[in-house]
Amino acid sequence: MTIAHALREGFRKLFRAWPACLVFYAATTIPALVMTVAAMAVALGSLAHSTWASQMARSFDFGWLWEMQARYGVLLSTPALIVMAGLFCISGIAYVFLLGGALTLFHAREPFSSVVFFAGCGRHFWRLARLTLCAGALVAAVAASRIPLPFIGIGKSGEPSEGAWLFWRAFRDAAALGMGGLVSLVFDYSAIRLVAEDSRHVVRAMLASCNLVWRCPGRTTGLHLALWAMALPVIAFLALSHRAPQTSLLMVLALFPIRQAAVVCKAGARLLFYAGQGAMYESLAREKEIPPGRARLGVLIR
Amino acid sequence: MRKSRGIRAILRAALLGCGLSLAAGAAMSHPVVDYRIRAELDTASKIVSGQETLTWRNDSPDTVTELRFHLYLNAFRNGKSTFMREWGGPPPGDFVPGAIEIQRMQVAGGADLTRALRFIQPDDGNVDDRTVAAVTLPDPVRPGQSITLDIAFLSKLPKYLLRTGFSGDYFMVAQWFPKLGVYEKAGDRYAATGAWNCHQFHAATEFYADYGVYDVSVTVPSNYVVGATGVEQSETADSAKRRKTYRFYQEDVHDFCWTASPRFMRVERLFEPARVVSGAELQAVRQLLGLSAGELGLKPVRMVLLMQPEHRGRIDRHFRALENGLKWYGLWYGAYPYETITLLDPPVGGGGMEYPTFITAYARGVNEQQVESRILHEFAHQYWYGMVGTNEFEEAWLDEGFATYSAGKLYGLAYGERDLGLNVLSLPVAGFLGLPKVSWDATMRADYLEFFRKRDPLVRNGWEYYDDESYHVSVYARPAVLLRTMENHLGAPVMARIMRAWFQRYRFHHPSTLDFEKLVNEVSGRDMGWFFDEFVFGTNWLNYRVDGVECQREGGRRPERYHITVKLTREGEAVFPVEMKMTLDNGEIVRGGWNGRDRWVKLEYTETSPVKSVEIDPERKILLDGDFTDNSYVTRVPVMPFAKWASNLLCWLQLALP
Repeated sequence: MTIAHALREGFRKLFRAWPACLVFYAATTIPALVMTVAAMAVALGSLAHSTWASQMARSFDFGWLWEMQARYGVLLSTPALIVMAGLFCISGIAYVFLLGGALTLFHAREPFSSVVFFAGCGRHFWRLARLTLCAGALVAAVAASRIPLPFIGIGKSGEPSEGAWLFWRAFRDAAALGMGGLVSLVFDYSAIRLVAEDSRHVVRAMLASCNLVWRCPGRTTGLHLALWAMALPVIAFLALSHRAPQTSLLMVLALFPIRQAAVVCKAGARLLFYAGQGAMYESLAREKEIPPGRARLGVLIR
Repeated sequence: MRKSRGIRAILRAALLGCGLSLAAGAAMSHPVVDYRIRAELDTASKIVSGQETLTWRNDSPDTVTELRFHLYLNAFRNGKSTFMREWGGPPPGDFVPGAIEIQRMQVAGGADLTRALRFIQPDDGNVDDRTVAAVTLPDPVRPGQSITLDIAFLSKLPKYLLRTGFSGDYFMVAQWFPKLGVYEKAGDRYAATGAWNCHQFHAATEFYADYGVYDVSVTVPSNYVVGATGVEQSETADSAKRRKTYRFYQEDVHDFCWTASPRFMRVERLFEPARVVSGAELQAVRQLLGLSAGELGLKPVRMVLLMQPEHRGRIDRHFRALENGLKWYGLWYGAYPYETITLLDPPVGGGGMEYPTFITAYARGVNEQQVESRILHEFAHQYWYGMVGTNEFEEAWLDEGFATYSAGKLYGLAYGERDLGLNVLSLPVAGFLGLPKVSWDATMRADYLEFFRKRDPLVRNGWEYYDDESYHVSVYARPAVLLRTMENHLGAPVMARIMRAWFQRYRFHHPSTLDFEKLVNEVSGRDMGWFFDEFVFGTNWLNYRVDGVECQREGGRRPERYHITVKLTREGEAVFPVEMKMTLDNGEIVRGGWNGRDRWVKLEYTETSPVKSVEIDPERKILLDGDFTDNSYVTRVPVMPFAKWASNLLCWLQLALP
């Protein structure tokens, strides 16, 4: 299967299961909404009766954050950080939970059904959670390796110059980006394999995914990059949409649904990774006579 | 090979031969000391061996029987020095100690004083500290008399630590020779009786010395490039020994620092006022200060840049920053009087340092905007420390705070507001993401806010602050905020005249905070004693707030009349007169004021329109105010800003969450 075929197949699977996008959208939006409400409560408490709010309507003033920090210090920032971290964790857990359902639907090539979806969620949650922890450990290792890398590089080259420093820093960032991408790729194929084979062996799935990427680097990484290329415009829009002129309440309200549509697209783009790579996985599995595990999964679906 | 540097250099050399009295005749300062030093650097052992001829003139009415010297390299001798104790001990791992040893000290043609030297600890009594030495003279020095000493010393440089030492083949040689303290006669600064002011070397403070002449020859391996305080007079090569001797000369300075490395890329440019200062800029400053163009004249200055080769792409930016300093500080405060300024881009260190006619600004891995603000800050020290010779040990705010204030004003003028230093994968993304910029005032105020209710007054010995953070805030951010508030209160033209008068009157002198207070009162024509008592010598803080606004229609009357009650309160001990601005629904603005003395005040108005908002200090002149969020009150909550922020925040969180 070519990359284009995998993408086409991925789109087909995603369209069949499109309500999953809305479920993922809700899973992202609910914690985001909680955090936003909390932050706005603080902002309203401080600025509701201040002319500063209107003055900051055009351009936000970081000075306000410093005023808040000075006034409340750790009383405000520590609970806020704890709540944020907690909500990020909850959101992550929800994502892993829902992922099992989405992968089940994609693998079964069936239209969205809440029974199948949530049955998949429940069945695959713990194995996917273990996989996430393993991937998280790998990401942490990659992140930790970023810190000493320039120092090791400079120590080896013996050249403490700015040029060497810049080179090793760029090398570090490029290496971290590459390694992070690889971990993401392995995670995706491992998750797909765990669901496709209805397996509980996370490490085996990761090793098999590494083997898959090693055997077919062009198609696996190429598809991954192609999917990123499709997702990036959505991410860029969301990151930069605040630059759109929001000079009146009407314009704020007009931009809001467009942004929310983009968030749905973001959820869809992430699911497309699994749908497209699932198609590629099945094709490669057939090529190498890897039992696709469809029969076993069929038992579950029935 | 000997290079002649023109008639001027020959004249200087001739003058040098004639000694201190002649040098004094040509000087801008009233020179008290004269140092002639021959130093040789051994790059293998990291030792500078020196021969120093020191002449000190007793400028006081007292008969002086003792001399006191800074021997500051001894701070790096071991972990027991006062510096190391304050700093938290030697760095773990590769600490290489440094020290200075006086091998011989002799009155010229007279008694040997070497054995009479003793270490003293005037600040903390730490007997392990050897950074100050005293020697009792066999013959006292009477008022107006001079004494000349011949000193041989060895300075072992430490591995680069904070501001001094070696790192590979880079040598930063500061605080490296026996240097006299300042003999303060009764009435000088805070001195009740004549005495030496010669503090130990501390972690944060290290500068206070008398003005004079420095004639220093430095011998280094011939492949080394040297930069130093003063004007380079000659460069003599000894090809047999593969050594090179550089000679530097400078009058009217109070310290001498030098650096050497084979890696420096030396670039020179001339600061030409006629090219750099536009007619409009000159006119603007003339109007601000009420001076003629002749009084604002600047001098050409030779700018020397010692750059790391890999930073060659930043050369223009470094020079531009220096030119901005020479131009604007020169126009605002007075022309930079020296012939040269050397800017070092060091390979290690971090931060920046100031020495007379010589500054450093660390650039590696630093947000580029910070490099420029660093250069402006360090160059501002040429004025506030270099020429206005305040005592950094006892009143650090007078140099660091003034430099921060000056650099902040100049940075805003020359470069505008700053991006947040936000990097993702080493790429600066703040501009790309369209994040708001921040002003210098805002960043200074952020630091000030963290400590505004804390314990220390501005005027305090540098080592006696509550902790390091309190020292840094009290010496950098708080004074900058304070001077900015004073400027807002008195008006920009008055403040500009104060700063100029401060420089013009006290350059090459040792003024104190009290002198500054007197000058402020004199130039502004107002008694600002309350301001100094509360915020400089005291620890008072303030916060004014609009506590509430009530608006009631007066029944049945035509035209409509509204009774408006405004409650203002003061938190904190400090008192500051505040302005009030009330905006009515019909757009009319009512202005008022409050002397701010009572704890609260109730203001009542009768107007033809309901009130829309009330603000105190609407232009945010009082940057010392502890909280800006409560400085205003609007009767109807504006929906749009909160809707916009909620929408933006929700969107970013939805992007960030999986």
